[in-house]
Amino acid sequence: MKGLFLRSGNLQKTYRSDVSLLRTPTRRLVIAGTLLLVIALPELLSPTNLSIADAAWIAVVGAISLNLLTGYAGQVSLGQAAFLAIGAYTAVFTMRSLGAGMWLGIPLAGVVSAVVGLIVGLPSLRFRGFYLALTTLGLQFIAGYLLLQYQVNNGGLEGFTLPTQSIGPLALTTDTRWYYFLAVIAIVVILISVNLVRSRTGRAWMAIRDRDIAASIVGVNVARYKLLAFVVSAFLAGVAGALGAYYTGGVSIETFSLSLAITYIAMIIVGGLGSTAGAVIGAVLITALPFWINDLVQALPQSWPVIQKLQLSIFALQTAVFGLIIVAFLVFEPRGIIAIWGRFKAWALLWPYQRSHLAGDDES
Amino acid sequence: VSASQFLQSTVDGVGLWPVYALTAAGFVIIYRATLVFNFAQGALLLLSAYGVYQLRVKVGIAIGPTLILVIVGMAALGALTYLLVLKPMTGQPVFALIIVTMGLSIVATGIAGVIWGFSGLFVPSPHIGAALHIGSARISALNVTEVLVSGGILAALGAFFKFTPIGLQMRATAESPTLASRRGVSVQRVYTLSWALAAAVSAVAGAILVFGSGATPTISNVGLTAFPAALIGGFDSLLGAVIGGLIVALAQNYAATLWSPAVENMVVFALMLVVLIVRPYGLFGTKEVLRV
Repeated sequence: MKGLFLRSGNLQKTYRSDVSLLRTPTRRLVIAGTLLLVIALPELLSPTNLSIADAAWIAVVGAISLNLLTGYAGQVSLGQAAFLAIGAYTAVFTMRSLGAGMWLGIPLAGVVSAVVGLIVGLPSLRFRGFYLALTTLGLQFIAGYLLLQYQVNNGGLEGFTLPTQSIGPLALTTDTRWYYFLAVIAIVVILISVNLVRSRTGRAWMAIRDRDIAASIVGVNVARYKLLAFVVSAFLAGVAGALGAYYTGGVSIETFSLSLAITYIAMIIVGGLGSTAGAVIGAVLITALPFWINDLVQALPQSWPVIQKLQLSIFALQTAVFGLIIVAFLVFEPRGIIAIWGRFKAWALLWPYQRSHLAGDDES
Repeated sequence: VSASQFLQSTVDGVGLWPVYALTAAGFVIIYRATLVFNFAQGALLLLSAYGVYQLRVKVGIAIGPTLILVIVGMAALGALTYLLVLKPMTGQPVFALIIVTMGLSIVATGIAGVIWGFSGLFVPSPHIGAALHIGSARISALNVTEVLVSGGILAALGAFFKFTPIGLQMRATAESPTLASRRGVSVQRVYTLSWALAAAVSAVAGAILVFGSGATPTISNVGLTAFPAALIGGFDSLLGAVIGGLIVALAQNYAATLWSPAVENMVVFALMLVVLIVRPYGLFGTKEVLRV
């Protein structure tokens, strides 16, 4: 049991073992426990919550994609919804023009989106910060228009429907089957993200994010790694878009609005920019938030006119709370839940010897 | 497309100009002072529009007092936004400041939705006179008044920045907050005032919109299309907002007439991308863009 709760007492003799994902016994235990929980979850959740969990897995893929680009490589993007839309419409295209299902559709969605990501990434070589945000906003409008044209010319205003997908003989007809399929994909994406970040690529991205000129001086090829960040992020966003399309079985352009892009930004901010765990936490919380608000408001007593009004305008209330959460996190804890957790850990590790100024900052 | 159609869409474009120019001016005032890109500009329009509805239709007061109350109220709201949200965030990266204004805009949209719902609400527009004719094109007297009033407001703003002591303080702060504060300018007061001023200008744009289309949630989209207007003109130039607003208003109308109404927003953003690549600081802006 020695070293189970302490971070010291785990001697690492090589760099490889030091950056290992299963470095400490505590971490092994946490990962094993989480995996067990993930496997058991469909048995524990109500049908509604299970469908939220499915949506959350898809959001995890999308949030990790954006976190790699914005959180690690420091490239601001308001174009996440456009990449998701490109993924979803590639799935539609695969069905209509190639007659194939998701086994071609999902990788193809990633590739098409990655190509667009490469093009959209080009302005990042010249601009940063706000001006880059504007060019990605431009993508949102241009992709939105072009895909609307495709939809109007091929499917009509209501959009497209996609048939049920299957894994071999197993048709993905229930939320439980989808749950395991999406869980496997999301875990693969989590591993991709974690591994990219602790490799040369991730270090190059963080160097560019923190100080791009210094990064270029120590030999990071800034242009190449910036474009790589856009390509990888767009690939994963395309995959998330295609997954969402196959899961819901319907694709329509108005779901891919600018507010969807902001939703994904909210996920990575609430969770914690530049942290894969943060992206996962943020994706789950922001996906579940509207349902929680709904449950909460419906549970309130109906006798007050104010509450009746809130129950009637539940969508507006969800919007307002969502916005408040974004503002509150940015004003009070811009580094997200992960930073709060880090502070809590620092406090708990020092207990009972902590002093307020010692526990004040994080140790991550 | 015939010559008369072209003339009509030119006149329509000029009629649309006040909204874009005023909204873009709101962007410019805040950006110049605080270097924040206020994505909540659309929400300011939205709240002013509903404010006009509430006072004019629900409470039922006359049009003059309504406008004054809405403008003053929005100015107070703008100042509060700075003091409560933006001021505590001083020092955070630009990205966080952009997203927080987006968050504010979502909050405002949500609250407006809770109070007023999501369906459009009719507001009677003031009747000023018969429509005017310019050649074969026609334009309403209300629209002409709006163009004149907005032109007057923008000119007054320009004069305010140029000739008054407080305007001088604001320009000094925009150029260098540190040096300005060394000379006794209260930088915080200038920032607060800038937010109040921008919100007040947006209130006028919101009022114009509400007389045109009633109070609807889609009003906030205008904030998004006015963004390219400010950018094309140059983000730190009031004159740029005036010209950029005209360019965007005309481009939208020409695109809708010559091509199709579906492309009007895309054309504006495509135009913005071109300007961004060729002349990133806009037509009248100061030449300083963060290059990599």
